[in-house]
Amino acid sequence: MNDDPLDTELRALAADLDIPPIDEVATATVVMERIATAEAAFDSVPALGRAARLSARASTVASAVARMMRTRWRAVVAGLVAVLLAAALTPPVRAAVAEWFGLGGVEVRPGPAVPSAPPPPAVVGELGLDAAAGLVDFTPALPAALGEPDAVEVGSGRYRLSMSWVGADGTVRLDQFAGSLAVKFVPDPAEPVDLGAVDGLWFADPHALNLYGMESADEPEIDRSAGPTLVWMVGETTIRLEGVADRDRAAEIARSTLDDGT
Amino acid sequence: MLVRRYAAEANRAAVVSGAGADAEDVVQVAFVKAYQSLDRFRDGAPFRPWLLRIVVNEARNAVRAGRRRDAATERAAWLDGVSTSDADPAAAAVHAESRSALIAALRQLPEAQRQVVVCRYFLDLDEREAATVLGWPRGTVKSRLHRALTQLRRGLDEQLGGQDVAEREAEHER
Repeated sequence: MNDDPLDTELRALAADLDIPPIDEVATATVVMERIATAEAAFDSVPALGRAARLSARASTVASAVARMMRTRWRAVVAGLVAVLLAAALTPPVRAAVAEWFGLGGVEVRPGPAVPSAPPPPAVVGELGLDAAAGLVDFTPALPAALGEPDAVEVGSGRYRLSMSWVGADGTVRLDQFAGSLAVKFVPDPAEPVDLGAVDGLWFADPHALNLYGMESADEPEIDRSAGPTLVWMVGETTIRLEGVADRDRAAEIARSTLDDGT
Repeated sequence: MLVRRYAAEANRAAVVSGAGADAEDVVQVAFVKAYQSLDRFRDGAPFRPWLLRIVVNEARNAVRAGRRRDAATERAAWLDGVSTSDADPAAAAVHAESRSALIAALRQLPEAQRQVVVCRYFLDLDEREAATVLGWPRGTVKSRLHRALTQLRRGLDEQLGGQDVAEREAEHER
């Protein structure tokens, strides 16, 4: 099939198509607002079928989310709302609805329990923190509670900055990224964690983690099992901390990224 | 968020389905509709073709929704202004000729046949996914694609001259 010149020509044409770009973030915001507007219509229907009720419930949440989108807490609240909503819906709907929300760049989907997860891989990188920070589009947060990292790495596409600390208790790894995407397949909803200025999400159970690059929505750059993880946001940057099994200690480390004014 | 992740693909689907300047609006409406019909989405089914089906239908509605007097031309307007990406000017000249012949042949395809070519080649969907997006049985996708490719070959033949095409194909096989 690949030797067929017509096939080759068509594929070449597909690659050369001039598709005007779309603003993905703006689209997401407008979509949430339009869903919220549609909610009114659902609410005014007196006799709702089951499907409509589910949609209406989802729309109510969407409305709340759309309002939150205008505040700086928007992503955090959206994530929390999604978790609450997920618990209220039937499993198939829950699976689909959960896909629509996440915390910052992290998307949460129901998934099978993973029996155990190895410690997170330590980062291998020769880069100094300043050099690494210069390669990414965001200002990386540094958790004062952990001190200088042992190694820093910038992911391909320069959207992700990772650092790790290797100590007596094992490896602690922190990934941060702006605008990109990690997908977690978790058996149980995550717990909200109060971090002071923001809320984080604590994923207590081992789970499957896919981390995507900006370029490829289909092939994850990282695909592995992850242990207990705390996810939070500093500004527009999403941070995930793995390798700290104790929730309170993880929260303490997270808070130390929020204290230094970033 | 899912919208962010699939916005670019949805946009591409809207454009190649002829949504033109309305592509952005089509994408937004499609996401809203997708959201509202999430309970009809089968758990475990691939999400991308399911979403793209909504986008493609929405784009079709937008084209139909009037003020388009010449819907057929409009539907293929996205084929305007495609250039070749060859670095070598001589190769580019030869390529430009076959490229414009291909575009002309695509324009002449009946709508259903162009849709299936769009799905398979421009949205990079496999046969099963294309069947989902278009809402046709798989057999129909297969047969229409076959007919479309036959017709494209014939169209290219006519525009470039039969011998020329035969030569190029022979050259390609070498």
